[in-house]
Amino acid sequence: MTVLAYGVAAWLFLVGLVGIVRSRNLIGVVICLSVVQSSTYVLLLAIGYRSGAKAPILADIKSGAPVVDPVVQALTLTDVVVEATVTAVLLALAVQAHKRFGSLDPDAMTEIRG
Amino acid sequence: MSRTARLVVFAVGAAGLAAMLAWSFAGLPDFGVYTGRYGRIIAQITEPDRGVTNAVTFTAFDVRAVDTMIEEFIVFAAAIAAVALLRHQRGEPEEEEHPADMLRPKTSPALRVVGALLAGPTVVVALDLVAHGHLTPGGGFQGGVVLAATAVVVVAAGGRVRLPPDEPPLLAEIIHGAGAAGFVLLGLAGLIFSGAFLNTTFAGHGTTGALLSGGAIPLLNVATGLEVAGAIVVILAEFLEQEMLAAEEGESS
Repeated sequence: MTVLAYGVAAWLFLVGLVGIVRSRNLIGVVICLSVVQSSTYVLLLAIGYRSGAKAPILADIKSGAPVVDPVVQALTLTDVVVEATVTAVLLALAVQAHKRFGSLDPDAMTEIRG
Repeated sequence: MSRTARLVVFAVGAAGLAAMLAWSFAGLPDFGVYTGRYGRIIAQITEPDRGVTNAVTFTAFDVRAVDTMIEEFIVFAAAIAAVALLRHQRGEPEEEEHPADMLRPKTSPALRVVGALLAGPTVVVALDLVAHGHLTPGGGFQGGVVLAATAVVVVAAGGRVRLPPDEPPLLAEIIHGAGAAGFVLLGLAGLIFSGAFLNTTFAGHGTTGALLSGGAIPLLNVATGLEVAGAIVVILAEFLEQEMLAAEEGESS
């Protein structure tokens, strides 16, 4: 199980990077970046997991019963929010790039124009 | 650098990165036996100290409330960035002054029916997520996003989509500013009434499990929900406008 949880995080991170490098479209780059970031969600949640523990919603469980770590879950929430905002700004930049260069292919944007 | 050369350089680097990831993951605690102290302490004090049952919300809006405030400002800044980036290029096609009846073609009936059916329930889900964020899974961020999704459903289900005016939607901007300001004001209320910025205890605990409990945490959730919903509507409206300007240019050329 250890290998699986952390392996998924490493795999998502690397496969997202491969996507960014290979992408010929800025929108694709932004989506691949979200894949890279989703590896951090998996990693955070995997680190905070405790076998047999419940979700940290204390309404329906006995007090003192083991729960998974709420701190990493809150960090994951922050992570998701940051990812969404980064995606929004990058997509806005992609719109601008398309207007300026008439293309979304990063290789077509090598020349710097004033 | 040619494409192939770039891929080769990347492959070498990625192989090294993969090896180091494997090495560092091998040093992490085994899956399922996390022994970190803070999470356990937080889970223990969540209910007795604040009358809150969602330990994640307690972490985000009490223990890490200052971080969450900054996170809210990140959302705020992203909306402003999207407006600034996408506004820059307006100007040129404006000479023709779109008449008020310049409307996009009709949306399909299926979309309108589904949209009309979904609009009400999504509002209810959004309000439920925000209002019960301190008790059950949910909270300001999640509810705010669902609330913004309601706006998307309504726009998509509209019989016709009107070209938005040059400004970002004013109501969404007000909501988004009010949410950000509300968070800070609640933080200052904590400073005044209980001696520390973003101390949430000044409003009293209430009964654990009640809708109005948990001190200022539900209020912070409401502020966050407004901020996030407003910001996302502003961002989406900017993108919608770009899309429609592009469609218009496509039609005229």
